[in-house]
Amino acid sequence: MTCDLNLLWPKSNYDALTPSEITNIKNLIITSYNLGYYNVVINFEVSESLKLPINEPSKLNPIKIKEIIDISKFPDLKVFTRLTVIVNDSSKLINLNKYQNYFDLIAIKPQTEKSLQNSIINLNIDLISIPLDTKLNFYIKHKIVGKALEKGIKFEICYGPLISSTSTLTRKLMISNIVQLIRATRSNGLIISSGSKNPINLRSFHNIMNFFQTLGIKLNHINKFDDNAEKALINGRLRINSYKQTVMIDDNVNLYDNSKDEENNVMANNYKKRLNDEDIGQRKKLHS
Amino acid sequence: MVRLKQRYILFEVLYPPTDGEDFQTYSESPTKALLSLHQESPPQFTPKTITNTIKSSIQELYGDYGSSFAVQLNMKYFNNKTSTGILRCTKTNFHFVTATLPLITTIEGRKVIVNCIHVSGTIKKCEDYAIKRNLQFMRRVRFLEKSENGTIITI
Repeated sequence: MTCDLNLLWPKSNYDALTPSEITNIKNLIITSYNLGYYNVVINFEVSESLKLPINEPSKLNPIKIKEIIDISKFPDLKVFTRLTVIVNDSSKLINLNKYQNYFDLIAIKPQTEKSLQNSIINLNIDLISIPLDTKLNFYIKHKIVGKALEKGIKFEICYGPLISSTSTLTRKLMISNIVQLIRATRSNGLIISSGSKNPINLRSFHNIMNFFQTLGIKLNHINKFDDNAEKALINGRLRINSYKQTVMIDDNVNLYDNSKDEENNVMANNYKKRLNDEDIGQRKKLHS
Repeated sequence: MVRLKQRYILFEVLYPPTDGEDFQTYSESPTKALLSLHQESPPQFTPKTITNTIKSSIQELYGDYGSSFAVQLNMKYFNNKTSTGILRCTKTNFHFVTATLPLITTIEGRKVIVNCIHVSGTIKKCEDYAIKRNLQFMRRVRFLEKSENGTIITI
């Protein structure tokens, strides 16, 4: 079972899609399915300054899977959603926990070393995707990365810009950054994903690993990449379905089935809202 | 005397939907998607043109040093109907070739995905694998057609 954890949503805000963009994303899902990726994740990437509508929970997730594609036609295909936030200053992101029940995966894209360090310590996330196609203004250290790996956070490598870029500069930067990331993580906890908007830039898993072998990944590490992607996906699904990602009560819950999430969220949300209100009340008493 | 050893690379050319009719009808059903990905290749795709694009992309990635290994690169077979082919190169340096195949985006102005399927030491094994894979492909198409029509499938 191979997973592609990053197919880009064409817009970075809540505007509606045009018909050609909808057919494009359909084509994107089906091409990656035919290349052997049975679990596909659509990625909604936003900057931290965009205001997400907290008060209307039904509008939080713009990706409605049932409206885009009929999954029952394609045997074994499963589609999930993911939120990625581009971070400059991690102190603004305290509210990230509120969005957890509406997306299957939650990831961040740190731009500075400080935001990387802070978000590893403070936030509850599944994935970190360092922007490898730009020149990094910091040096990836093993000490910081090791902390993330202890918590079970995975690091993502997007191969999309490597193929689509026409300038040789981005290719050079990407290869040097990937080698740096492999050195810092000692090739543990890494994930490969496409990160492209166009079906032309998709490649199958083993083809990309052929290229990555020349960058210093050993043959016996290749299966780890596949396992890590699955682990990250299970981690994200457990956040919705279980208590603190450890205890599940119902036997009949299928972890990979996300069609009934909307109904369940209403129940869970009311309970959480009440808890939050009580918490705030107690804190106010303490301060006054 | 040790004889000179070779590696044979089996690859296929896929055509993802870019524009025109394919772009609209591609997502209608799984069989249409499979068949339009595995299209016939146009007649201007000959063994010579494809080896030239592979050699030029090796030159782009690895420079003069890398492309010196690709001098002996040779296309043994290419079929336009099934758009699969077999490449031959020396044993020690075949990694340079397999690493550059996914980075090719266009051949003769047409946007393509070049998919490396199998690497083996003899050309016979490559041919066997190609036949086996084609049989699997035909079985999958029939399976999908039946499931679209709604008949009950027993395998």
